[in-house]
Amino acid sequence: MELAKKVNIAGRLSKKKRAVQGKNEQLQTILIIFVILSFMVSLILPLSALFGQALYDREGNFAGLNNFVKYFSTPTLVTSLQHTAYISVMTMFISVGLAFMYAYSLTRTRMIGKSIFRYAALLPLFAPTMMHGIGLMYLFGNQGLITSGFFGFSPGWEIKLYGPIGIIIAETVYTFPQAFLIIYIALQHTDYRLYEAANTLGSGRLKQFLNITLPSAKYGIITSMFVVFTLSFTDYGAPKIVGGQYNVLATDIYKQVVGQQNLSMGATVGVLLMLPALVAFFVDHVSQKKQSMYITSKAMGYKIPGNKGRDLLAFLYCLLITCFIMLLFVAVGVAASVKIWPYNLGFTLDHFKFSSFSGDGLTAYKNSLIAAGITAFVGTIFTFIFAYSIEKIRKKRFLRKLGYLLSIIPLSVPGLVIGISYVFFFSKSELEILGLSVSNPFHFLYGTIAIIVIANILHFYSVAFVTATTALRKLDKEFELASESMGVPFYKTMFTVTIPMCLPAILEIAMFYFVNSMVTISAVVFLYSADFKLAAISIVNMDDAGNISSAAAMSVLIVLTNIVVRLLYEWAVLGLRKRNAEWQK
Amino acid sequence: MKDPFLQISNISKTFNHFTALNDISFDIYKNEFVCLLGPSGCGKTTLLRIIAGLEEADHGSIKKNGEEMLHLPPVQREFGIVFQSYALFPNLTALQNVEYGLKNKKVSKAELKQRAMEALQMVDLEQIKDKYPAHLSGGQQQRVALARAIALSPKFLLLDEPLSALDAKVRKKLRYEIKCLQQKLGITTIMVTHDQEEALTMADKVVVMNNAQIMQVGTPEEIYFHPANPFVADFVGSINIWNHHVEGVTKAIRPEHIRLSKNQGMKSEIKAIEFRGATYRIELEVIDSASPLYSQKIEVDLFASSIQAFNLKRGSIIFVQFPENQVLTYKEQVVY
Repeated sequence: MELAKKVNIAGRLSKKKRAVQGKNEQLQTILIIFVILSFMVSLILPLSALFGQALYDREGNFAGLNNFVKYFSTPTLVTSLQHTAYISVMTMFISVGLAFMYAYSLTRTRMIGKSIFRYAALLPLFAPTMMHGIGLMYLFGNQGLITSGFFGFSPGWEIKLYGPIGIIIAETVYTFPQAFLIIYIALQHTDYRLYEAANTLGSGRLKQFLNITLPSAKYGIITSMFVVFTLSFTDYGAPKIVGGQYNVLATDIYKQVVGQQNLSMGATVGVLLMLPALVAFFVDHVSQKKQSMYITSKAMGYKIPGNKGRDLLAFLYCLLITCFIMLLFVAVGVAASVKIWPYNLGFTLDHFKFSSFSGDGLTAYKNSLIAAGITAFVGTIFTFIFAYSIEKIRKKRFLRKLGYLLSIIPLSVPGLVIGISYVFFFSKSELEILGLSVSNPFHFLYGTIAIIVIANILHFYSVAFVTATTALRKLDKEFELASESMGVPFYKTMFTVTIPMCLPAILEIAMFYFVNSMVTISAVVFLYSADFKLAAISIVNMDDAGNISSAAAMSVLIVLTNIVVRLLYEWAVLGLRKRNAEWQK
Repeated sequence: MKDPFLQISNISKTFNHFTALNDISFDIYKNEFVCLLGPSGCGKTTLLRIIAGLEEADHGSIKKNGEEMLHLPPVQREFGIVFQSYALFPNLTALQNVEYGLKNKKVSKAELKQRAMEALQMVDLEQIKDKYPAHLSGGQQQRVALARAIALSPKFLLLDEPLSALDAKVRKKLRYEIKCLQQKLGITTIMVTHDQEEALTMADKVVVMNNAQIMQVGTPEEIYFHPANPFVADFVGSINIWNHHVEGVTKAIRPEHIRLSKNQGMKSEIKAIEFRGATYRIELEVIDSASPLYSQKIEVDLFASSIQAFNLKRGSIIFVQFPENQVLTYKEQVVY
């Protein structure tokens, strides 16, 4: 009887529920369509504009592949391509080799100081690539600390910094953390049972290394090689500072577009810049599939056998790398705070006033904070909602798959290409579609903060998206079905369950967007407007003007800001963990 | 006969050329406990999801009290569901989990709490109401999930392999508890399981499925004693099954129905004796060359007393008899 009454209540409510359900489904459809449309505007249309531009000549006539033919028959341009390839290959081998040994030391030895070494390896992520170049200048430049043998105390060591050597060292520092992270994770995910089996079969250490360790980290190593290659292939900051007369694609594209206003050739170089990233995209796709086959849920973590000699060797190696990274940062720090290097080494904070420069030093820094803050805030919200729509909505399977693909593609679009394709798309007030001229509804964004924020979000979106997706996939996929069966709208469950559960990942994404937006230059170098300069760009400008100590001071400001943000993040995560301890295992 | 509560007719579903359900029809009556039983991949979970509205059927119809339900979204079908993974919200307490669905129903706070507590009492868990799922045992989590499902007073209950994540002892206890609760509430229940013991002990009606099709619908006794075809015979319980080449049919007999004799029947040799607690399972090889079962292996279940009475050991020679009324005969030839 009691039950019958309750059932009756439920029955009476069913009309209202029908309406709610209808709204839910509509809202979900709108969400997923919004995801697709966002990518249309921020990715597909600008890239189409870029590819389109590459097919037309300077005068706007259809040129087919003529631009590419012209490119490959212009000796200076071909030389740049060769330079870039040389730099990238060298960086790839050096960076991945160093990173592998570093990651191996951290995962497979019992040396002390592991957590310090791990943070030290990540330090370069907090700095713009220009800073690595500046640091190198103060160490190995004409009046560098090491070149002059510590101001004559010891024999000097001249390495011809400006040119390929400087670029390779700077790119190695820049790419080292990324390679390290990938390989570190690959080495952590191993199955100790394989080693136990090898031990019982009596195979030696070297054999185990060659037959178990290397194969299980193989895909990590391959992926990191492609990542490093792509990063150094498309980096703008380091060659700008220490490249000297040594031209690479990234500096070329800037000269073509901004210097010579040759948009067609700029687009052509842009297409070339994308090639290695496209290859990397497919390699990564394949290797991720294969990597996951390697590890089962029953895998056991690696147990490190004792070996004092090995531990000491690993410790010395990691210490060496850490010292070098520290030295670079300290050099920049010193450069920013002495009066006149190397003649007057007295301490000063004058360079932080940026008074000798045209005056937008501190403004640029403030602008960067604003842009990075907005990018972190808006980017995190969008990324999470996009990942949620793609991962958790039950229907619209095709659109969700398309959304997933579109979410991964930005990974293979270098920042410079994003920047230049945004110029091509957003700067036009009229769009040509199938011969028809339509006014561009997105033109108003051009030259505003908004376009910088959009470019930043897209530039770093894929990694953030993967972080969000991974966090969402850890949640029971039946949460949504359970709440749907109870008649609770999906957004309520998103707010009461999904977001609280994913909060650590959300904070990580925000931190990631902020830090990267502070250091990046590649995408925004084409997009900033005269009245909204950014810190990273002012570094380049100050360096161009010969005001290197101010450039160093700006770098220091950026690094300090990022370290503070990182610490805030760690502190927030710690607090969160404490607060959520009661419902966690 | 009463009208069926749920009438499932001609449901078909394919996923990219893979047929998950092929023309499924059966009726479910009010207050019935129905088990969908079958090996993994037979389509039973897909069928449950179609009933729930979480998956769309290619064609067919499902009528509730004579009204078509297939076009309705899940919430309007008025069921409660318990998932294999429980799907309890980790950041909400047991009570908050049970209240979750009620909150959307615009009932007063007092009534909301009262109904949630009632549901928790039903599964005997009011003492752990403020604990988070992570601090509950698997069995307790499953009962909270059950309470959450019945708190909304649904018209019927869907259980998707609710016990398979639990260990054997807890599973047996919960089997009984779920059945009691179902009878107490008199709620129509559909449960998916691949565990035949679960289906036989809990169901009023078992729907045996294989390869996207229904193999048999019947009471647990009908399924066990009169399996409609060799698949059901083989899938539910243990059975000896062989092709009778002379008659051109397939015959089958359950191990516990075989009788032993010291001198009459098919002459056999004992190949293995397996101790199973209350019973022994004996594996025999027929060595009577005149028998259609010559050189085949047969399994027989015996109590310990029989083992002693016949003084059975490996290598002993014994005669077996198949009581006529216990032998099942099927027209289809089962190829081994």
